Amino acid sequence: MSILIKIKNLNHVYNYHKKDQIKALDSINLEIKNGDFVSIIGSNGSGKSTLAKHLNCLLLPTTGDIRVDKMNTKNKSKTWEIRRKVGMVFQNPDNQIIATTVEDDIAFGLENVGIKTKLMRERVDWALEIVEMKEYKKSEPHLLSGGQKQRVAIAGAIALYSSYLVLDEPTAMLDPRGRKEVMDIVKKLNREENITIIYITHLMEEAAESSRVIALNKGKIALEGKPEEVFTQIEALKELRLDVPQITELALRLNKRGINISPHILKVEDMVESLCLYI
Amino acid sequence: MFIHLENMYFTYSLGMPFETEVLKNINLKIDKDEFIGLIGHTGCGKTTLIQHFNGLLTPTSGKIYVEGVDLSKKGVNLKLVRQKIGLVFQYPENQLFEETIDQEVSFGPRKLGLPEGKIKKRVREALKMVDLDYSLYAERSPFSLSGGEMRRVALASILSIRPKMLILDEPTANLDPRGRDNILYEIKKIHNNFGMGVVLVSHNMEKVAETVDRLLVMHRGEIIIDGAPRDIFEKNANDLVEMGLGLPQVTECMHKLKAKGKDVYAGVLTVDDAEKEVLKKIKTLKR
Repeated sequence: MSILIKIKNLNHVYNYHKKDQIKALDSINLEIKNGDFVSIIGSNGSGKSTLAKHLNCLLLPTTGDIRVDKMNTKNKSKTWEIRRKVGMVFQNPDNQIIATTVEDDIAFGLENVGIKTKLMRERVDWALEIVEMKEYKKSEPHLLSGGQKQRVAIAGAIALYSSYLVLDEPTAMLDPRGRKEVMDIVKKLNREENITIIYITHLMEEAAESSRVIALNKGKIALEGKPEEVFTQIEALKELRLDVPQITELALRLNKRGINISPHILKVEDMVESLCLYI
Repeated sequence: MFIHLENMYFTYSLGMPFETEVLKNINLKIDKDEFIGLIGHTGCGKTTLIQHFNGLLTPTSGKIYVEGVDLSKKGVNLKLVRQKIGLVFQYPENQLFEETIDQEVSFGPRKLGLPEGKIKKRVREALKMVDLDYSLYAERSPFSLSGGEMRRVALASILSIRPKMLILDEPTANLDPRGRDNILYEIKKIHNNFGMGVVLVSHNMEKVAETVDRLLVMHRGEIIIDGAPRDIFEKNANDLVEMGLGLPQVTECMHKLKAKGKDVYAGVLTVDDAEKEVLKKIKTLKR
């Protein structure tokens, strides 16, 4: 797999030229490969959103470099190309939708980059099909549920042929059903459309679905690895003020009690299977 | 009986094109020292329901009594009702507006016309209840705080009115795990130490279920389940899943074991519960 986003010694200081400097990111080195599904976890103020905003030039490094498909984000002539490639979806669904119908909203981005009407229609339909919102094409966005709105926001981003999708706590304001809707679509984009996903979340069950987890603390990478490697470090996670998936904690505890159950269990189904051998 | 709702219905925009029936046939009794969780899907009517508790909304039909007083009667002093029932809205930090935390928390008692000495006492007391040190926080701007701290200040500004019951609408929304645990801990402590009744509105099943004593589940404007969390998780797990509310992972695990014919108790709320149940089971089988 080729490395497509390369972050080298990234530092970000807010209020750099003022007295009350805040170091939000501290020497981040990170490589994201084509087809990755990376989740970023960390408590409030750990730098997650700041990092996300660097990926499509919403913020520029104080020092260090980020290259997206070899384009440096500091290179102003590449800003728009990078933004088209790296789609973003934010937390609050109501802040991202601007048009009066769902299809207009998705067409907005395409219009902005000057895509011809016929192609625009194709792209809008394609994007709505993928996020399973086709029958809501003519709907007014404010009548949709939170999960549906977030799916429209995702469609708006991918319609621009973006190869990366950065989602900054896209489910924080949704209820469990809305969360599942969004997560299912994100997984599908990653699997079927080969879109690279960078997913910021507080919810460990969501992060457990990704292929790689990065935990930030005070602007630094504190833990990194596959979900089963990261979530089994219960003490470290608690120190970082993060949750541990219940099922992993149960597996670890039973393991400590001398029951032969892998402490790397992340999914309920796997736990059920293991326990069936004992009870 | 502190709050009593009888055959209550509520319809938004009655007689208008967008008329929507939001609450249907609500019958509910709440004692003054209960600790209740109200859960349900977005749009199920949770927020609409609690806004009836202190007279912010009036039922389309049916009755609400607070301490025996019918709120729909003419001449009822709603101001008094709102002192008894403190309502903390969703994202209460958006309502902060004063220059200092001291001013913020004293706003309520001052509006009640209390003398300055008493106001001071109440502010200190309220900040203490949410674990904020008066000497460190009083003169700071509420806008210089973290999200979790802002929420605690907002909570303190309701507590300084000394309500008998506290109603909180999604108090943990948008907080990180530690912020969420902190605020739930404060609320539990306030309930235990001051005997204050609490109604917690949320869709965070996992955490609410392990915090409260009684759970009300709403669906499409009706209260369809009412009981102790463990009982509900044991008996109504399928209903909860069908409503899209989800189950804690450990509860789901127990139910799946049960579905495979294993004889386990599925009403587990926490990892502790599940661990005990599994160990117990393994022990009995060894014998």
